Amino acid sequence: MRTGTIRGARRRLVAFGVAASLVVAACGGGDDDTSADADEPAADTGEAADTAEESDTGDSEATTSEPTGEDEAPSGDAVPLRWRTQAANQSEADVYTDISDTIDAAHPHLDISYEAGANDGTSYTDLLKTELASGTAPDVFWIPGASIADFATRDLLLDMRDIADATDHSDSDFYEGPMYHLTYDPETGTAGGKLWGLPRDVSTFALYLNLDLIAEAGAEDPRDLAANGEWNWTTLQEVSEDITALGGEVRGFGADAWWGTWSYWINAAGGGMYNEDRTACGLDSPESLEGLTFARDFFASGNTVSWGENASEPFLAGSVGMNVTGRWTVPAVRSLAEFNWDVVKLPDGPGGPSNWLFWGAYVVNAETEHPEEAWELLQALTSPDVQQGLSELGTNIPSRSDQENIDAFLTYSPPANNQAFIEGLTENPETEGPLWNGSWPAFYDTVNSRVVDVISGDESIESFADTICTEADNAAFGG
Amino acid sequence: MKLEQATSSPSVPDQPTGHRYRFVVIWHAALAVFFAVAFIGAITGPGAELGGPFRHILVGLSAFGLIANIFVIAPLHRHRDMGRTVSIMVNYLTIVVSGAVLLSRVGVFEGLDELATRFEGAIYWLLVPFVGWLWMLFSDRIGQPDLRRFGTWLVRGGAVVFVFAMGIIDGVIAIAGELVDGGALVLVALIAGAAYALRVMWGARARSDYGTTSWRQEQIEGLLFLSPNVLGFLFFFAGPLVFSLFISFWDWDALGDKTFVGFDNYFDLFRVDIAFMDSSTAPASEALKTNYAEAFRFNLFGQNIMISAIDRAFWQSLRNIVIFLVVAVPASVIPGLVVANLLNSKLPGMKFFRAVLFIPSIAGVIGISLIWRQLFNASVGWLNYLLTIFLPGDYEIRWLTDQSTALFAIAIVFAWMTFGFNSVLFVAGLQGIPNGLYEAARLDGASGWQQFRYITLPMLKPTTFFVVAITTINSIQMFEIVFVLMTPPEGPGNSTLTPVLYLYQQGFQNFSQGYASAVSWVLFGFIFCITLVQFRRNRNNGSEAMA
Repeated sequence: MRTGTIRGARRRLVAFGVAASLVVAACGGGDDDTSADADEPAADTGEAADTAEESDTGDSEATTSEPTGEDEAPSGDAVPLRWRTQAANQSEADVYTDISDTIDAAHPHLDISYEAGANDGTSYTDLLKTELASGTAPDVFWIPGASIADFATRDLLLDMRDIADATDHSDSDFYEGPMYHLTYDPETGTAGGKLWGLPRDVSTFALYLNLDLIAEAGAEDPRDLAANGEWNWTTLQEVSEDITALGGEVRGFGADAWWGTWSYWINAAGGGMYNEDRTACGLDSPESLEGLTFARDFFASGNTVSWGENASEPFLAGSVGMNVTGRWTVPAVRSLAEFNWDVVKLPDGPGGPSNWLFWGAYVVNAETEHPEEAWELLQALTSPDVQQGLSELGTNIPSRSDQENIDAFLTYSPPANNQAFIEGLTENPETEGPLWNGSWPAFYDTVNSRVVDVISGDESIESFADTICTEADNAAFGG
Repeated sequence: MKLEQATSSPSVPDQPTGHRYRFVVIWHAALAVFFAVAFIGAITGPGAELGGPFRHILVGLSAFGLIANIFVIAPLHRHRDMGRTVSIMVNYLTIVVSGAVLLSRVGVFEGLDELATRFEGAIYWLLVPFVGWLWMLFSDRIGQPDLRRFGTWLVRGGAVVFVFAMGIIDGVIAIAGELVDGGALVLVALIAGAAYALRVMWGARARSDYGTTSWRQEQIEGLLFLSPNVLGFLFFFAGPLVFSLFISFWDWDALGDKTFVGFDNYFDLFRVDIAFMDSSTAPASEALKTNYAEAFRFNLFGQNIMISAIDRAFWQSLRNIVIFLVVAVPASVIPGLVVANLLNSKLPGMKFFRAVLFIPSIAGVIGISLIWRQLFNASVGWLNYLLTIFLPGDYEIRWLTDQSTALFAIAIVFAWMTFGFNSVLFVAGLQGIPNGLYEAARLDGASGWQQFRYITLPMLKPTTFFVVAITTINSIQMFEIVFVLMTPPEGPGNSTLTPVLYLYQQGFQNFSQGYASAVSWVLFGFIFCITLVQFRRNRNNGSEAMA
């Protein structure tokens, strides 16, 4: 009996010991500074220095800043850095994981880990804001261009101007539009003084064409019309009508309903969401209303997918002749479209050519403990090699504006007419931009549903014009 | 006899025990000083560096610790039972809170996450003990105890290697390194002191010396057994609830400083204006006050009335949820009742169908919503396709993109998800109705409908009340389906904007945590009022039935 009791006690003791060991082991794993040691060879300072020198030659990476890390990490320990970006799907997340591993291998003094973010923009930024509030956000993360002001003015982003100026970084390596906002100083109201991040990529709209439907309908090829300078809203209506005349479920034109697509009609008519200096609403200008009126009538013509309905899926299914969407749709069309397809630039409106320059940026968390290493990672993530690798997948256009990058991008086909995207970048694009003197979320919340109502025919143009800017100014610009 | 002795007057402690009791008194005095310093730190300089809720938690805990420890000193010194009870509670809470903070500080919680990663790499080492175990079984089978010993060593050795592969060395070094930190040592000292004081007060001698009755002792033990749940409730539910009420009086973005705004958040929600318009198409700007936006316009007895509000979206969300309630609750409850009557019959296969109908209730909302999004597609969706097949005409209803149908589509999905669960509740209620009532009714010549109307429905009233109350509350809290099904979630013309979606947008997209908290408390009031009315009606009906 006594022996049994002792055995039982011994078992309990052993069980307790194992449990305690597991907890202890778990505690060790949580220490970032030591976790790298188990799985990876210990980084030594000599290797780190060698790699930095290699980087300086520009052979493999564009990272040219010397890793300092003088007070953050003792010699021999890799500095842990977490980074995150939005990935449209698992395959894109895998690509980012590979990129992260490659950069990690090239920078032994950094312990870089990638976290895939949610694939829809709203959930991505909502989660990020929550993590920033709780102090658990990554060191480096991507945010949409429109969110830069919201984040920067709340002191959530690190201004990297001083760190960047100590390296050979040049703002002019990237497209001017995004860099204007990324270097904007809200205190002085001028660009150039700050550096909130570097653009991951850029994108523009194009009109995706189902060439088989266009040929079957006997409609004029929009690419030819564009080449002849005749690609405008009138010819767009004519081609749409011709394609729709094929009958059945076929529609000539489609566009997913979101602020990017509805604002194209406004911008191309010569109007805009804001006034000239982006300090007030501009949706009630005659040009803006002309654009909305055209859009309403066009979507009521029966020659388009109904406004609000998803147009990309019917386009991929082969029942829509022309579909407005961005460069990001290329991978899906490449893999799913069972018809001949290409792209053409958006038709010119009464105000001339118009497009959006969409962009997002890698930024550094203001609370990061390793700002210089974060800048190093940020440079690596926006290096030409990484951007070219991503562009080849079809999703993105490199954010570096030099001819070499553009030439390389033009070779990534299909689509054959990649030039349409470059034209979108050069022909009067409106840069997706934050509101430095207002609140973009508040502006969007106020105007989006009403614009949708107008194009759907649920609200009259007159009623819209009567109050929209009063409401938007109150909500977004403080009256 | 012993009990009588214990419940009589407190005895005088001997010398060594007296020293221990004096230590406990001094310990509580020291704790009071400690919490006083913590309280001052929390409300002045150092505490200001802490992020929002953490500072409030620190202020609350230190204030509670200060008051409790000051309160306990006098009764402890006088050997009162109350002193012993409060001392036990205070020391117990000190150990729990300090332990939790210490575990967090040394990285145990992050470590638990890392454990999964390490486990993946180390799991193969578990094969060694497994082989050892097989070896032991084999040795037992062939009756070779010497061979068995080898298996035993394999099990032990493999387990040790597995534990090492999990990173025990790293763990020991990490914990030791963290414990050297001054803050961790303070926490260890708090735990040690509180544990010793608790041990002194818990003992039978202290129980006797402080005159604790067995009833009081049972109370203490009961509270201690309840404490894991109560502490969890207070920390994870009641605490955030009170905090959200507090924050609803502030303008706060969850990131920076707060500005006290009193009831302004609530006033902004409820500021509305009513204007009589000349015609239904008269420009709103003619009658709008500054900062107001048109919320609704309708014709009542020939009068064109426009209601405007400071926060139009909030009122639109309220209108939407009322319409949703009117459609979704009957659509979830009535089919549930009908199906429950079928499921309660003796027909073959009913248990199978009962399980099938329950599946939508337990399936993931995200998956269900994505499937329904495809079904609702105007061009290629099955719903329009089926309507076109079975009904005359060619249907291309824009279920999700037309503001007149979007909320109805949400109600369809909600009802589909809920009615199976409701039917199971109704089945449970039906099975509680005595068969004798039906037999008596049949003898009296009652028809099936009369039995349902005069026996089933009245007897199901408690179940019906529960089902309707739960379905109503779930309806008002509508969020997930809308968030996933609709793009954008608020739908065309804000037609699917619900109050919970609205508070989410305010809190997590517009950085307005204070305003979002105010919306949530208004929503709470709304749900509370509706549920109260339902309770009252149910009680009145019950009273009438009794009469």
